[in-house]
Amino acid sequence: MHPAKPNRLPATLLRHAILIALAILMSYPLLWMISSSFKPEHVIFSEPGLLPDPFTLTNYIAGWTKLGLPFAAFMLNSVIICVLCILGNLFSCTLAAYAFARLEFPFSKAAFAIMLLTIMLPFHVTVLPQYIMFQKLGAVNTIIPLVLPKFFAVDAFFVFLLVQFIRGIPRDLDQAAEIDGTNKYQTFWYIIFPLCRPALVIVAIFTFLWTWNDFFGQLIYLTQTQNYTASLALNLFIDATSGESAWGMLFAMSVVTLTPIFVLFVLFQRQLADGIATTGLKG
Amino acid sequence: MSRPNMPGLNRRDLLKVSVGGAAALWLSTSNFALADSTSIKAGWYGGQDTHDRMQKAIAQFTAKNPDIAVSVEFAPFAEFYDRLPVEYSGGTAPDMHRHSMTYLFDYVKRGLLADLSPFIGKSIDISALYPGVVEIGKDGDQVHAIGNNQIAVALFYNKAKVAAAGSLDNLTWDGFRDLAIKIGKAGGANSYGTNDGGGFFAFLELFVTQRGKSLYSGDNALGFEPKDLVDWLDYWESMRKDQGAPPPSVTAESAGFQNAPLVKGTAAMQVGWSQQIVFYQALMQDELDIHACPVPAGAADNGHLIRALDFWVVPEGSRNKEAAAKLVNFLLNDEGALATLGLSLGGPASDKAASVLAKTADVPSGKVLTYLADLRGHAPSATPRWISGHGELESTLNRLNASVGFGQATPQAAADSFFTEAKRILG
Repeated sequence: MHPAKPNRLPATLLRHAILIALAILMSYPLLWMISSSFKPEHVIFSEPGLLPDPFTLTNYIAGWTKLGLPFAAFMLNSVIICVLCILGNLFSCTLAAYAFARLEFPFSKAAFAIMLLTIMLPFHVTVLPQYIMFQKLGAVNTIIPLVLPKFFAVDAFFVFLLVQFIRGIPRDLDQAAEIDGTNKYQTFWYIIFPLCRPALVIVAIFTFLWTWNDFFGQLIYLTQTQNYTASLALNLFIDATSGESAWGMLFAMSVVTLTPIFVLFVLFQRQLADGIATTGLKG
Repeated sequence: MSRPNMPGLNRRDLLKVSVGGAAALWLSTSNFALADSTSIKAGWYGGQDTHDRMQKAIAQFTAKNPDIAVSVEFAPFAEFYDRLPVEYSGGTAPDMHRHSMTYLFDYVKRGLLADLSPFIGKSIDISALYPGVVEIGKDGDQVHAIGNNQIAVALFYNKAKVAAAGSLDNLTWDGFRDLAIKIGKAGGANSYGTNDGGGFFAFLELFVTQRGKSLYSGDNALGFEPKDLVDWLDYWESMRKDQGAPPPSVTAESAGFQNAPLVKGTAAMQVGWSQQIVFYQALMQDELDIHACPVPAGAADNGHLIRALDFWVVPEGSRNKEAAAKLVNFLLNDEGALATLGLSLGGPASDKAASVLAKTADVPSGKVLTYLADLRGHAPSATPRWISGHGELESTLNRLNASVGFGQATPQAAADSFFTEAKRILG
């Protein structure tokens, strides 16, 4: 006779109930925004309920064209910048990381330390000299200042992340390739780069998120509406000083803007978790 | 063992990729700065309605001045002032832009703004503008800024609710308090007479002006006494004690037009800038009206100031000051432009603008125009400036008014610490 299995059901149910309640609590602001995007402007702040009553799609229809251009144009601007930033970071940060992790060159230790120091340097400190430089090059009001630096491995955080990852790859593989006659670039291209995949996914996703959500850099460098990205366009809906704020449309277009990020997370959930686990990246 | 026979990247290929990529990026944008002498950039802050109207007015300008190309940039207030300093340091500031008095004198002090006096009487016609609109941006003989609006502090009220409790005729400070308390108590718990105006710096300015003083004396000192501030803070504390005004916890949650007690129906009156009645009315069903603020019993002067709060300026670094001056003139004087702009930049800066606006104004805007016209008959034409540091003082007053409300400071202690802070800020 086996002892009767203790009935775990109540405990499991309770645990799930608590977790679901917490999840709803955490996502309340998001749910509120989605619900408000379907409400007419004048009830958004007076009716706190989550079920929009009356229900309207006006915010989406009017918000889409409110800024003179269809909102898709701003989303496209964001996408172009994001794609180029991702390509730039994948290309340049891996090369830089490979050099720091595997090659020995004069002052490599010092260079690595200096690179780490730049992580501590806030963007606001460098923005003025950088702006003046790009202005002299005639690149202000184009996407160059936002994209070009990414091709020169300026995101030290990613370089650092990749260096740690590459250091974890056994050197035996490099040596085996060298015996096969590869040079340093070929070792990088055929051995290191493919093995870095989990870390590269992280680099790509975080570059996307940070670029998609960036505001200050885009605000400074893009001044004409047709160049505006989604986050700059959203900002045009609200002006705290004049009372001309269109909250309903802001929420509607925010939902539209969030959708790609949401889809991305759903699609890459597993890689994201793997990447975070294997690179030791937390927070 | 043979070399792996794969198409690989060698050093040279990589170099090609990186240089080529960078060059492709460079060329694809094809945005070269044109050294065209007749192209200018105009900039402003505001909401979407302002953006639409300004772009339309500028289109009217280029239709009449086909030799001048105007590009534009605009943003909400806060973001506009995030970007502006960077543009000034990079030399890419708009050739003419809107400037708020909150920051104007910081820019004047640093010599960033061009002297417009050579253009006045030639490209810029100021003859129609109200007195004070130009003077307030003057520094000796130099004119660094020309006002594009005139506004004043006003009292907005819910007509039905105030009529039920009394009237605003011959409104004194004591009468205002009695009325506010009466309305508050009549509405039961969580009901108040007016918003808490104790932290509104321009409202305090009105209060001290009624006492024959001013907010500032000269360029770095306050123009009133600690005693005045104590009386002011005392007055609002007595309001809050009896439901005349909401407690600070409620006020803290009422930032933004949509959260104002007046809009939420928890108060019947609201103090603000004259044209804001349009924004409040848009969020409400009940009809609002506008009235002058309270005066001391038996006072001769009601202390209301009317002045330009936003300006057109041209940066010293602009290469097309002449064309920029033409645009300034157009926006100030052209009838078509004035009609297009409406009240979006504030109240009218000239009789001409006022009469153009009167033809097209909706009901709330009409009330603003009448209010300002009435006020203009009484208000002094000299309009005191807000000096550099005004923004910081305003937030200090707001904070101290709240600490009195929370019972963390007596009015006396709060007034003392305001004067100590003012010394540091204005020093």
